This record gives sequence, C-alpha cells and structure tokens, in this order.
Amino acid sequence: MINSIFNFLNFHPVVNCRACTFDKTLTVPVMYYEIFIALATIVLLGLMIWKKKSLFHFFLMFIGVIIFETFTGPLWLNQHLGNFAYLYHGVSWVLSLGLTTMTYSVVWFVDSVWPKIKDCYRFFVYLGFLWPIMYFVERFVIDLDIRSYVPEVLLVVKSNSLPLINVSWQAMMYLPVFFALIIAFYKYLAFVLLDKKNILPINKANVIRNIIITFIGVFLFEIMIDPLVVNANLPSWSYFYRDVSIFLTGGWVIIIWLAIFLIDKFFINRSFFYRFIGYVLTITIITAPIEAWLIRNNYRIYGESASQGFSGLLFPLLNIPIEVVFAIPFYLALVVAFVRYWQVVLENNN
Amino acid sequence: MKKLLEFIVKTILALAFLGVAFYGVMFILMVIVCSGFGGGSNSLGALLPIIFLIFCALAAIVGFWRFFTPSTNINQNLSKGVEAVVNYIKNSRAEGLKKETIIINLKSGGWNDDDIKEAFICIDKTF
Repeated sequence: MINSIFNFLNFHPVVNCRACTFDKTLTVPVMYYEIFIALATIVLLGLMIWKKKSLFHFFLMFIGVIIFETFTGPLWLNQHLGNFAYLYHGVSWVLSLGLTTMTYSVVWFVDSVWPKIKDCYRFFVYLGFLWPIMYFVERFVIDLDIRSYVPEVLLVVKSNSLPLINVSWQAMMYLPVFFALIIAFYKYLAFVLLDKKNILPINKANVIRNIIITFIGVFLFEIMIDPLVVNANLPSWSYFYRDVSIFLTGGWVIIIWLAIFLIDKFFINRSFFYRFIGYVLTITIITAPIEAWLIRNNYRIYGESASQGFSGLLFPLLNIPIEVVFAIPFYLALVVAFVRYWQVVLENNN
Repeated sequence: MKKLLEFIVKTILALAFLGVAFYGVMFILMVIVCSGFGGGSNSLGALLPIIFLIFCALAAIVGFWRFFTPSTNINQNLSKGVEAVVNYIKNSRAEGLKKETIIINLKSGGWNDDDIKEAFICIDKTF
C-alpha cells in the first residue's frame, strides 16, 4: 500500500542527506550558551509581563524567525546544539528563540524610549541597533563551532570581500535583510492581528510606489538566497546583479503587486489579516507552476547543498521537490508582509 | 471587464483555499515518509509540521468562510468598499479624531466625497 503511494508520488527517499547528518552532539560551551538564551528569554518575558499580549507578540516574531530560518536552512549548518534543539534539518528552535529574544528586546527598547518616532523612521532605528549586535552574535556562534556555512555561501562570501574589514558585503547585507523581513513580518501581523491598528483603507493606491516597495522586497530576498539557487540560461543582458535577472525578479514583482492590488480592490471589506492570507495563497497558486516550469527547463537550478536536503518526494502534478513547493508560501509570507508593512506605514504616515 | 476580473480573482482565491487543504495532506505525507524531517530522530521533529498543519487547516476553513460569505455587521446596502470606510471612521472616532481630520485622511486614501458622506450617514444611523 505504502509502496504504491510512493510509486504514485515518484518518491525516492534520501536517507543520508548531508543536511541531516551533521554533528548534533551537545558540547559544554554550547550548553552554557543555550542556558543563557533560556534565561534571557525568561527575563525578557518577565519584564514585559505587564505589556498587553506580550506573549503573543513574542510568539509572532518567533514564527517569523522560524519561517526565515526554515527556508534559508540550506545556506548553513547549525551544529552541536543537542538533538532536542532541532526542528527541521539544521533549523534550531533554540537559536531561533535567541534571535527572537534579541530582536524583540531591541524592538521593545526602541518603542519604549522613542514612542513618538514615525514608524517609517523607527524601522531604521531597529536596524541600526540590531546590525552591529547581530554581527557580534554571529561571530560568537561561529567561534562556538555552532554555525558553519555551506560551500556555495563561502564561495560568494570569499569572492566579494570588502577592503579593510575583509568581510563580504553579502554577509554584511544579510543582517539588515534578515531583520528587515522579520521585523516587517512581525510588525504588520501585530498591527492587524494583535494591536488591531486603525489602518486607513485605500481606494486609489499609489501604483508606482507600491511597485517600488515590492521590487525592494523581492530584490532583497533574491540577494539573500543568492547562494541557494542559480538563475541560469536567461539572456545575458537581463542580469542586473550576479544571477538576479530582470525577467524573474520582474515577474515575481508583477505577480505579487498585482495579487495584492486585486485582492485589496475586490475584498477591501475583509479584514487585513484575511486579506494577508489571501495574498499569500493566491500568489502561491500562481507562482508554484511557474517555478516548476523554470526548474524543469533549467532556468532555476538549486545548489548542491539545497538539493541534498531534499527528501526525494515530488509534488504531484508539478513534479518538483516538495520542499520547493513548501518554501514558496514561507518566502511569500515574509515578502508580502514586508510589502504590506511599508504600504501601510507610508499610507498612514500622517 | 471589471466583473470578469473579479470573477477570475475569486476563482483563483477559491482554488488557493482548496490548495491549502491539499498542502496539508501532502505535509502529513512528507512528515511520515521523510527521514530528514525533524532532523531524523529528534524528539521535537513533528512539532513544526503539526503547527504548519494546524495553520493550513485553520487558514483554509476560516479564510474560505470569511472571503466567500457576506462579511458585514452593518445591516445596510453600502457601495463597494464603503464598509471599510465605516469601520475606519468608527475606530477613528473612538481614538478621538476630529471629523475634519478623518475626512482629510480618507481623501488622501482616494475616497471621494460621496463615499465619505455615505459612510458618515451609515454610522449616524447604525451606531
């Protein structure tokens, strides 16, 4: 029975993928680090107990971090955290908890100290604090032998080192991109789900501005997953940065922008949260077959490290690895939240 | 043309909600058969898929319900989109905003005088 289902799904399990056979044995320094994360989280939540829905806020950001870590997982390995600490391949809930605690502390601090700064400026204050902090944290987890990078990442990092500080600009870019997507995801969903902010309904959207915001969101993300997937076999003139092509990026931008625009137009009476679900689902159902076609025709080639993490299960009808199909809504949840956050912030600027 | 576009968007959205249910089933399969999921023998291996599955089920049921049933708690025939304006005005008043400020804000969002007037009349009648 099971075998016939496997045959129907064209499923050939990969038992010893590199992504799931790294060293998970807990070491003493890492154990202390995990205890520190646990204590820091308890202290933060204890301090914020008086704040309304603080646990929900924290959990929302945690979800954002987990989503991000899950589909960028093939970019690195997180070792020595102990078996209990992993959720999916190298994605660790302990590290995600630490990242959430750090990010949420900064967001809470900035919101408390400068409550009157407009949201569009405050966003950059968050990044200003988090960028250097995260740089040192990242170095720390590397020194603890927790984090290491897959060869594709190292190749990109080594080939683009900035002079003087000898750090790749991609590595430096990763940090603000990571926080930009996580914070926008958290803030937008907190606006519409927890704080129930009174957001201005828009009848005539600023099309150019919204397309630019969408482009920024998609482009930042393309830079982020640069080592994960190669966009190949497209006309050479269409590449405007490494393997980022105007065809693919432009296509995603148009689909995302148009879906948001049309759902807002026809479902403006629905709540912001349900519309958010609608954006993500609609764009997923449109982009998944396109992604499948691109993969089958070698326009998108997944790197070795990403491919080694694939289970072998193919998504029926589309005939592409199931992990790719599941990554699409994860990716969209962050990018769409980023786009919507900036739309809302700029539309409600006054 | 506008009606056709609306029909297409609604059809895609309906398909998307059905797709979520399919996703959920596929995800269970993925959890069952993929040795790599959850990092192999991790005790918390099933946590993420279970959370995702619950999200899928909730999103499909609630989302479908919310999108394709009449939404309003305002028992009047309003022009398209004016219900959103009504809610905005209601919340703005609760926050203590003046009527003039509310009107300026709504106009900056592209609403015309008729929509705003209709919304205010609806509020005065209903609340």
